[in-house]
Amino acid sequence: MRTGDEVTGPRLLQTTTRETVPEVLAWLDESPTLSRFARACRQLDELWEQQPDLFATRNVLMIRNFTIEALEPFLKVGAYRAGLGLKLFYSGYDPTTSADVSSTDDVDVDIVLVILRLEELVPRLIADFLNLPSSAAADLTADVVDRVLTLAQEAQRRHSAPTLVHNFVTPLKPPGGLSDSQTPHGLLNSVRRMNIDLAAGTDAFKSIHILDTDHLFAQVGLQECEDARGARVAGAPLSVAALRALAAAQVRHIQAVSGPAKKCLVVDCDNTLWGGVVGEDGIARLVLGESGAGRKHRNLQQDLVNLRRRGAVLAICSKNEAADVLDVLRTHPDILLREEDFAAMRINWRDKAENIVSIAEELNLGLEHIVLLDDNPAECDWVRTQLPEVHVIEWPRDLEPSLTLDDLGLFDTLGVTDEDRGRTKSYRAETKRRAAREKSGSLADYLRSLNMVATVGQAGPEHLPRVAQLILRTNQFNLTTRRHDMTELESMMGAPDAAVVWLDLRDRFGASGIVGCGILRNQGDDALIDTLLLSCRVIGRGAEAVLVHMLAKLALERGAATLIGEYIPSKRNALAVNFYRDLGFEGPEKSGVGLLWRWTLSRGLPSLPESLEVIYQDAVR
Amino acid sequence: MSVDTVEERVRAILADVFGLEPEAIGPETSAETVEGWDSLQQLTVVLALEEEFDVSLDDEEATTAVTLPSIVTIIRGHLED
Repeated sequence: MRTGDEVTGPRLLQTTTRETVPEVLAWLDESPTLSRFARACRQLDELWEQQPDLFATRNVLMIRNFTIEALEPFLKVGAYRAGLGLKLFYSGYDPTTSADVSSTDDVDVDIVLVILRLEELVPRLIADFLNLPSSAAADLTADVVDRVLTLAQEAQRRHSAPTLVHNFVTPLKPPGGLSDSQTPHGLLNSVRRMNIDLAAGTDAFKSIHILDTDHLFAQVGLQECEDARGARVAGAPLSVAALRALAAAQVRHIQAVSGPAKKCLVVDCDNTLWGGVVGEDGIARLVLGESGAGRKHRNLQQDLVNLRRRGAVLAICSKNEAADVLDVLRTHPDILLREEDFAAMRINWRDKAENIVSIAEELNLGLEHIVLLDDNPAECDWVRTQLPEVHVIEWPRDLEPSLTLDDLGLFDTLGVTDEDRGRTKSYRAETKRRAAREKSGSLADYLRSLNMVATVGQAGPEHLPRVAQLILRTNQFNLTTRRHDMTELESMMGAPDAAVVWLDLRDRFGASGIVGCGILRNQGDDALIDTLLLSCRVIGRGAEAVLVHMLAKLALERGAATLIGEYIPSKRNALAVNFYRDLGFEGPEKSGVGLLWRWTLSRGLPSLPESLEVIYQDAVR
Repeated sequence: MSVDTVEERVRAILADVFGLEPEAIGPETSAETVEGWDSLQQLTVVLALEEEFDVSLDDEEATTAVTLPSIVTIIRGHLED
């Protein structure tokens, strides 16, 4: 509604001119109060309704046992900021004892949040704690953990959706007072134990994850998180501070479920990794160490080390003489990051944006997966304008007053695999391979010189986390881009009419780990390759054909007459369009969504490349 | 703080919470007349008021702050303390 300007005043003018998402968010950031969140949320809802492409839809089912609706503006606006449009559905207030979660029968739920308060779940445990024999308390807590895990598993199975279990918050005031903490069986320690049991009952890769509400509220302050009045008059026990923190954490977890948003952090050197300019000050006068001004640089290095150990890739981009920087990395007594921590380096006097593009090419990453951390505002601005896809952090300004790199959530994951931990090593091996490729005459000579060994086998439970991760993240050599999750993989692993196959690759430069997988499904006399994918780091070395050979072998053993390869085009997988044709499959025929290619198994198996030694592990499980 | 300023700020809060223009909020505005002003939104109203004015409403106030005039009276009472 627009009314005459003479009665509107500045506030109304503002409310009627915000017509884009950035305008709404900028207005909110001027004064991020709850009431502004409410209006911003409504306006973004309306914009999304008018332009459905603005945000990616996520249907979220909230299984809860208390009033949490006041969270909505914080949660939805936080998600909008991350490019996600949430549609929220709520269970009833007693989800563990009734079939109270069924309002979503016709909705395709994308993520389930299980957020249950102990006070409502087992009132006796808190109110009567001092009256309970310790065995009864132990029984109660074990029963609660069991109920929550069962509820989460049922929801996860029913909706085939990743599920986030919020753990329990330690009570602000235990009834035993000081005595409570004196025994392992006090209330606080019991709740802590329940949280450990919840984490043990889920698993980072099982599609059921933990949101550590207890730690989150401890960060905010337990006292600050409680709204006793809200609990009394509205059954709503969480304060605005708690709701804000919870919503932010939920958005981070919802994003992390799909893997990290970013993959590579490119970092500057002078006045970033260390204080001072190595080319001018010399290595002896750099500011870096445990105490004094050098501390913040050392802390940044520690944060970077942690990111690398979680699977992010680090690279250096610095205007310097390469010898100077390498000297610091190799010899400075207080340096934490060494040469081998970086997957790529551009130490030269060229344009920073060009160098970043070249790093992205070397690592085979899209610019949208790159983050730059640099202290120089001019360089930051330049890269922002030249490469808008790159996320630029001006350090330390963008992290002040007390944020850490981790708080930005750019590299969030809900689990770390061995391949994550060894990623930098395998990128460095890849650089050596490229050098070898440049030296050898032909591609065939080069491939033979690698002494590659491919190990293939049918997936057991121990392989599934990595297979699920590949399925989630692989875009380029991914023939069908079907994103099966852990639950689907588990059921296919055990099914007589399906098989999940993995491929591990190593060569004289190092082990790449599990880099490929395939899924076979029987359909009458045919066997269909439902999924076939390979990490982009190893495309074109023959491992693709090894996977197909293995799947054909399995199909034959299972009595199939024809092996069918399927290609479903996506935005990123054009390079695989002729893959089955090049292997000698016949076709294609059009299917509803893509192309089908046939291999008549009476012809024998598709041939194996000569440049690879193949080891079959547990070929028939 | 002048009475007018308090009333203006309360109108702005209610307008934001319920997605209205501040001019649409008047003496007759209440949970009875505004669409969507249910018990869940009542909580949001109370929390938003507490945040804006840095006050704490007691149980009684939190349940009776359901019209523009009553809210203004309650808030003024707190600010005069």
